Parts: sequence; C-alpha cells; structure tokens
Amino acid sequence: MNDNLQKLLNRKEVSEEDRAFWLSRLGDLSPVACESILKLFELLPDQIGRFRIIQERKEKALANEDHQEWDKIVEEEIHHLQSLFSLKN
Amino acid sequence: MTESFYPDSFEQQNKTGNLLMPEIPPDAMRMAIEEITQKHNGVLSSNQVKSISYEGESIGNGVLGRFSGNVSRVIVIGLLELSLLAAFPRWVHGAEGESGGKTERQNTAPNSGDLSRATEQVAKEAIESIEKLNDALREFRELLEKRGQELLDRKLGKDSVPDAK
Repeated sequence: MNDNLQKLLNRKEVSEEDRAFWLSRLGDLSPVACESILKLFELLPDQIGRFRIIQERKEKALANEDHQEWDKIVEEEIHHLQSLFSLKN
Repeated sequence: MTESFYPDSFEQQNKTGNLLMPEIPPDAMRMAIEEITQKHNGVLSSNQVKSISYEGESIGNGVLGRFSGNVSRVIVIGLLELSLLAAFPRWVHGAEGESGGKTERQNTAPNSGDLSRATEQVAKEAIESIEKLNDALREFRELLEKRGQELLDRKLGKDSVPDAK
C-alpha cells in the first residue's frame, strides 16, 4: 500500500465513503503512477470528496460515451477550480 | 523508474518559492493524451480520447492562465490522470468486481472448476489492467513534459529567430 495515499486518506476531513472509494481506485497503482493525483489531493485536501463525486460522474460519462454530460462535467470542474483559487488568492 | 516526478514536496516548493517548473501549453496536453492512447491502442475508444483531450484543452485555456509553475502542473496532470483512470476498462467493465452490482452473478452456481478458472481469468485481467494503467500514467507525464517542452522551445525559437523557410 502506498504510504502517501494512506496518509492522505487518513486525514480527518476525508470521510469513510471517500476513503473507500479512492482506495478502490488508487490502492493498486504504483506510487509513481498515482503521484500526480495525490499531489492534487495534497493541494486541495478539502476537495477530496468533491473529486470523488466528479470521478463517479466521469466514470459513467466515459463508459456511456455521453459527450453532453462530459462537457458539463468539464465546465463545472473548471468553474469550481476558478472559484476555489480566486477565493484562496 | 520509481523516481518522483516532483523533486521537492509541494509544500517545500511553496515555502521556498521554487515554482520554476515551466507551464504546460494546452496543445501539449491534447498531444500527450492522443499519443498515449494511440500507444495503448484499444484501451480507450476514440470518443473517450476526444473527451479527455477536450478536457485537457479546456483546463489549459480556462484555468492554467491564472497560475504558473507547479500549481498549474499539479492541477492539470492530476485532473487528466483522474480522467484516464476514470476511462480505464477495469472500471468501465467492472473487471475488478466493482460494488455497483454490474458483475453480480446469476443464482445458478458454477462448479468449482469453472469458478476457479473464472476467478483466475478475472485476476489475470485485473493485474494486466493495472500494469497497463501504471505504464500509461507514467508515460503520459513523460510525454506531457516532452511535448510541452518542444512547444515552448518552438515558441521561443519563433519569437527570437525569423522563420527561415
């Protein structure tokens, strides 16, 4: 098990549900392979739950090749990031 | 091979102000995504490639202009790798036995020989998928770096040297 992943997911702001979700997706990957994703979580730890919701939608949209839904997800993702960073800066 | 893509921890870079990694142009994201998915032919459909490429360019145009260095790099690579992960067949097809019920079996119990062969096959496919995904994610970042640098070099060359046809 990747130590960094475990450390990140053990933070108190990460819910049990989010922890289980991300462990099932990232737990088998090599530390180098999931390093960038963990860096993103490290940068925005309070968004790990939000990333789970986006990820579930991405999985469904890609599986169904649903372009409309995908475009919506990307648009929301970008607006969300913009608002997060304008709040932080 | 196991070397970190980020030489210092993000916090450390933030503290020291060492945010000097070059930005990644949106074009480089699309190129890297297309290249990596071509290389792993069959892992993603062309529609999935288009969707993720679109995301790469949209993030590039909509978010990265606001930041420089490592922040934009973390955001773009992290998000695109999440998308590659989301597209991977083991999640799409429930090869790992995702808890969504997609792989639930019928009530008719198979005999133990069938079951162990089926289990072996699922395990083999899961391992192969994980290996492919590990490779794809690593190669994606390397390509992103390479194509990004090439585009930046080309841009710098164009800006300083007149185009010699």
